[in-house]
Amino acid sequence: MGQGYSYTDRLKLKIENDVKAAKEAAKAERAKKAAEKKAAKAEVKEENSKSA
Amino acid sequence: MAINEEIFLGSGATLSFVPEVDFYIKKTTATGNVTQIIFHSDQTHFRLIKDLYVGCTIDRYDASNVLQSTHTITGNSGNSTAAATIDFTPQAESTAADDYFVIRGYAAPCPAPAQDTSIATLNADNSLGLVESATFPNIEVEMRQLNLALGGTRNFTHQFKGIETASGGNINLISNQGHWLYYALGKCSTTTVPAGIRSAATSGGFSAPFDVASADQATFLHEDTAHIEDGPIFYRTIGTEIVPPLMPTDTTVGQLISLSALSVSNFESNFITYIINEQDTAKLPSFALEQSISKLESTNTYKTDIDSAATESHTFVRVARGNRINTLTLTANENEEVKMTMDLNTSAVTELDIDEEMYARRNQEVENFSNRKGAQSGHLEPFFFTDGTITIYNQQLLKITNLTLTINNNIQDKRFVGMQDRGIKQGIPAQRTYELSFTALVTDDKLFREFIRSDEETTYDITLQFDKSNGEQIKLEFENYFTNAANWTIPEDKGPVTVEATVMPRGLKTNGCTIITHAALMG
Repeated sequence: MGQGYSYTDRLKLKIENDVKAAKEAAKAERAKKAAEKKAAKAEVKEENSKSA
Repeated sequence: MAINEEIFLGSGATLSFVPEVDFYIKKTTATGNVTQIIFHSDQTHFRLIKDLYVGCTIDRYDASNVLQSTHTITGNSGNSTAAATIDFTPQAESTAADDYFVIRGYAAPCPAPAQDTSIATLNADNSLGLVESATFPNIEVEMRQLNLALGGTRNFTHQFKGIETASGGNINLISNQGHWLYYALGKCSTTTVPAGIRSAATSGGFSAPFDVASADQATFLHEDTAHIEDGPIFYRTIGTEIVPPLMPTDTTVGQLISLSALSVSNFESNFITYIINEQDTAKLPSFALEQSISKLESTNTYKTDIDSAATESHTFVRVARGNRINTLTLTANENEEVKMTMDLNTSAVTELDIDEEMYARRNQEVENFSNRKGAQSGHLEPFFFTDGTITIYNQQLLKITNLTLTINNNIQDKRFVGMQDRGIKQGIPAQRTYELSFTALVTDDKLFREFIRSDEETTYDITLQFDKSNGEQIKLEFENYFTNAANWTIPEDKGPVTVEATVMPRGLKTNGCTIITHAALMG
């Protein structure tokens, strides 16, 4: 079943969804980068402990 | 080859329906302060009819879909321009490369992809329905004759033509579906398309907003989760091109459905349900009428300007645009079909420019018109008087001999500075009124008691319903009403006593208009 909205309301909804999606994408990207950083740090630590 | 001595005959005259819906434009990447846009190469399958969109409103949005500015169209290129241009005022400032434009639907007839790859045409292969009579709006020109305080003779010293007014448009038809109520009331709040007559739009080959996969060609697309209530509601596909292009809110292929052809057997008893509501803003939907008078030559039957002459002697075309329904009268008389009569408020009647090539009625034969092709016998069958029921004051009146419902939008003509053409006006909807009058044979004095009652009936709604045997329906529910006339007529011939009553509802009930029909409402 399709619900009708005025074009202005449809656009508002689209903009909200787009912003939400962009925020979620940015959040996911940040989480990914943080994980990579953490992994890199862990790797360096491991290497240091090996060389010690 | 034309025989110019042939006269125009009524046999070649057609009045066809052209939807007026918001039209998305992808422009070229031009930036800065602009007063003209050019269609992007992705959109050059649309050629425009010269200056048909003058006076229309065009909005500019940025890539994030935020409205940036609003303008009035002052001119548009004609058929000879491959990448169409639109001029507007005031200038759009600091336009970005990926800004897009939308022509608002009012007074903007929806174009269709060019025929023969380069001949402009409108989305005009749509029948008005079972028309009994139709009057194309006439243009009246105000004559101004002045003496300028300069004597010498008793004749006028000077004369000129004043404003032009298009008026008198009227459509009188037998109702086989109820879409006209959408134009009278204003918005489509809900659509339901049963599984039997739909399929998911094909994603492979789909390219928003202009193209669909070949599996979805020559059909209708619909955004099935949320649609724009005043159109576009159903998008046509002509070949694999979407008409009009999908609006930016409707481009997710996973939410689009494709409507089956009218000829499929499931369409015998599965229909689209539309819930129509009252529109209380100034955005009353409109449509255009394309009038073509062809000499029915064997080749290029509906083409204009075949011989590049200064006068058109092959197919005379005019387009009445911005038609809003001022009054709609639904009549069900004893022994008749249900009829609808609509008086139109027209924004302008636009003629073709000299040497403007186009195909009238999208160069289609009548049986190929979008709402006739494959239609089954039940689809084109009218609603009959006998298919109706009316319930009022919690009673179903069984012996109604005729009834008339009038919806009046009281549209007011307004002309604005900057409209660019003295022949263009805008119809602004104002006070809306309803009136239901009927003649009935009665068994008690209920109607008279209701007539003398001074308070409004707020408990029981008025329900007016017409059904076809195949399942198609028109249903209207009104609330808050008075009976303001109930005349009891005693006949001279000792026949049945009749009551002629008039009921004035204040409004349509929320979700009070249901239309169940085979027809796809473009908006």
